[in-house]
Amino acid sequence: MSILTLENVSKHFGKVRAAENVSIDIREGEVFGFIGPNGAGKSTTIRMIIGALKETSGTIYFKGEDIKKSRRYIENISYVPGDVNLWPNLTGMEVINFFMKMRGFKDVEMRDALIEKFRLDARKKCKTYSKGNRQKVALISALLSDADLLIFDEPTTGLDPLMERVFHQEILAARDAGKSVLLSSHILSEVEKLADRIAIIREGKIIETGKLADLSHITRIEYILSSEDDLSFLEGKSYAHDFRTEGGNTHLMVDNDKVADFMSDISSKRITYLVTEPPKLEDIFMRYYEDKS
Amino acid sequence: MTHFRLLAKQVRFRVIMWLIILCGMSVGFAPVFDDLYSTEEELRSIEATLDNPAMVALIGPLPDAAYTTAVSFSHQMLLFMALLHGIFGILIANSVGRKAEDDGLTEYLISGGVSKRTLYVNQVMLGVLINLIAFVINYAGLSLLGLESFNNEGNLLYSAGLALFGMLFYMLTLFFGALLSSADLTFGITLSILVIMFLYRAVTDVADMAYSVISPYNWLTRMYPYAENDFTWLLPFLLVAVFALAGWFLFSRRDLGGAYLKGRGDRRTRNIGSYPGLALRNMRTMIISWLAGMFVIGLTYGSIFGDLEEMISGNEMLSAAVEAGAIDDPVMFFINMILIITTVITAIPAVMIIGRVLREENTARLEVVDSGTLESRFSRTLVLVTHWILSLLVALIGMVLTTLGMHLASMNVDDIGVTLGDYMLASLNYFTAIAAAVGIGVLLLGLSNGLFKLIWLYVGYMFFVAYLGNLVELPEMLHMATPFHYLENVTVNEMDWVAAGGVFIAAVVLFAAGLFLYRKRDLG
Ligand SMILES: Nc1ncnc2c1ncn2[C@@H]1O[C@H](COP(=O)(O)OP(=O)(O)O)[C@@H](O)[C@H]1O
Ligand SMILES: [Mg+2]
Repeated sequence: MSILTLENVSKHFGKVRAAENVSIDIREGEVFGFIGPNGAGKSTTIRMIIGALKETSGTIYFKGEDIKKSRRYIENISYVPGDVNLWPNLTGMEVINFFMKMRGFKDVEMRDALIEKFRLDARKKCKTYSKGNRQKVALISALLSDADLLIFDEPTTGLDPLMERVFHQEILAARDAGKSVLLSSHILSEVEKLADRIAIIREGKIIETGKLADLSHITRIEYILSSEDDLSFLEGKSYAHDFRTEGGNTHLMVDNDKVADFMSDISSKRITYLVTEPPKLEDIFMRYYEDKS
Repeated sequence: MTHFRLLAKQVRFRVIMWLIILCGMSVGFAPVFDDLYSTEEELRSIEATLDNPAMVALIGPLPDAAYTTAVSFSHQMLLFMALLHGIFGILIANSVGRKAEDDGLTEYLISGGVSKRTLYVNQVMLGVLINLIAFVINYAGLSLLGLESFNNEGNLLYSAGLALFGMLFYMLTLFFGALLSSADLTFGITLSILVIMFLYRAVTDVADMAYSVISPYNWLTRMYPYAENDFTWLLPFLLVAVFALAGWFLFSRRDLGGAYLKGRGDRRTRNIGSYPGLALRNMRTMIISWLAGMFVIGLTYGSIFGDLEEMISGNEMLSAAVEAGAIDDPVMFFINMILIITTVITAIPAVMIIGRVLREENTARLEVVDSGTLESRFSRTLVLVTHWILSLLVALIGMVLTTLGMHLASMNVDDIGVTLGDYMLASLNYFTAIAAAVGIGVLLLGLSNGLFKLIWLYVGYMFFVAYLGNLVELPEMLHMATPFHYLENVTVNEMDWVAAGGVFIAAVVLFAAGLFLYRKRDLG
């Protein structure tokens, strides 16, 4: 079952085509990663979903219903923007309570547990909060809801790694509770750990959708290795890219769908050091455009 | 980008708008005066009109010199323009100062490597720069016009006086921003000082000008531009430097976001369970300060009503008009004029409350609260209706408090013949004019986020027509574009319920149209 479906949704701001024929489909109980560099159109797409922007063309369905039919669908979506602004004169607790009241969500124990987990000092006024703390207030408020779909727009930009982990746990917990999650990011590795499926957007257009594993034909991983043997033969291999030696180590990017070939090629060598770097969005785009041309 | 350029960019639009309005009024009105008061006869007549306590309270004392066109210009314009330059200074200083701090922008800049000193020095420099520009435009403009009797010293003093006045309130705002705990509080206090100083000098100018000297407005008066051209009264404006330095003293010694004096800061967690509750809480300080200010304005005006009689008998033009039957009751005529002016002042908080919708929108809080929330508890409609009702309530209560203040302060004056009931009817009558302005505001807001700003031009226009329309004859067309044209002058004449009802219905229709558009348009 799909919870949210976008069909050829476009948004134009004058000449700027912020989103162009975007079609995505988010299923019930999955975490969906929405990935693209800055300015790709992620926030624009999300803001059309929550009704802040009106789509220029195309249709959005929530649980199979065209959202233009009734605004009530919004009651089932919890949303956290990339840049959180709160009411400066309210304390964090007052904001969280306000959101709970507005949503008719009454679980005070869950509230206190989340505040504890995110280590938020909720007694302080919001104007004294850093970006990360404001983000925490918004994330906690969004999690305290009966909504079926949670939307987070670049949620971890202000969080430290520890809090990012807490956030990831909460996302997975929400999914296990049957909720669906739309998670946007410009960092692939962040979404990769969580997302069941991803869509990649660039310049307003979706260029790939699917399971990350299935996208191995467009991903590439960087390997850093050193060996007592000569590795320069790798440079000529078709799966190897950006070959270079640096500080005695050999760096190269390997196409994900050719890892087996690569491994058998180096199996006879005495490898003394091997590190991999997770795939980066830029690398995906590099490969995507190389394949196209 | 340097921090200074960032600051300048942040306020660029607002500063340009303000400068256009402020300098446009000064430079634009000089030829109008030249036109209207050029002959000896016209000058004598306007001098006589203004030589009475009510007008002295409103625009300042007459200079003890030949009343030339230029003298008349500076006499009628200077204090009023000073009030506007003061508001300009306060708004800009508060937005780059305390407001930026409240919003966390300052912290962001400091974490980005901008030192506290650079930050503050740049805020001060911005204040100097924008007021310097105001000075240059006014001085150059007045000089280039080359009107007769507008001498160079006068142009210099007029322009420098206003620029320094604006700068004074700019620095005062930085100072209070460093002292107090929020932008709202800073705005409330500095605006109160600006208004109270005006009201104070209104009273003392009438009673004994020697006491007025505490008020910066009086320094401008005492310069007597185009008459005595007394440059020594620029000296008290050295206070600009004092406040700038005192502000630095306070700012440099406290934490970011800290304060020496806190507003009512209780640590108890309040339960805010609805949007109206939240809106009220966010605007509480602003609403209360404005309402208190309106009451004080009413009291101040009321306190001069006792002198109205006396001045009318001593005023040729008025007496002539009374004899000719043009004005039935000159006391009523003045009271009515004051009512119209206070109506426009009350429109300011009413429009500000509507404008706060945009703050929710621009910070994206509106769309965040909207999602995941029951439609019955939060929607764009609810937000706009909440602000609209609050705005109308503040307008009505503001009018009632103003007229109540007038009534209380003039109770001992015998022959006024305006009962409390008349005042209340007048409040209701003119309240509909504010509702109309608010309605136009909502319509603009519904059309687009950016267009809303234009409502301030309209309020300024209403003020200009209401204030100057009584001193200077303006074409009928200009009056027709304000709601006052349609309303009966209550206190002078009987209330016209149909007209008031019509204006109010128009106001509601404008609101409904704005709401309809607002529900559909893209946010921020
Ligand atoms: N309200 C708007 N008016 C005009 N252009 C906009 C507006 N909002 C976004 N854009 C433009 O649309 C494009 C996509 O922006 P956005 O959706 O914010 O990207 P992302 O969230 O992926 O970083 C950008 O070029 C941006 O400048
Ligand atoms: Mg974005």
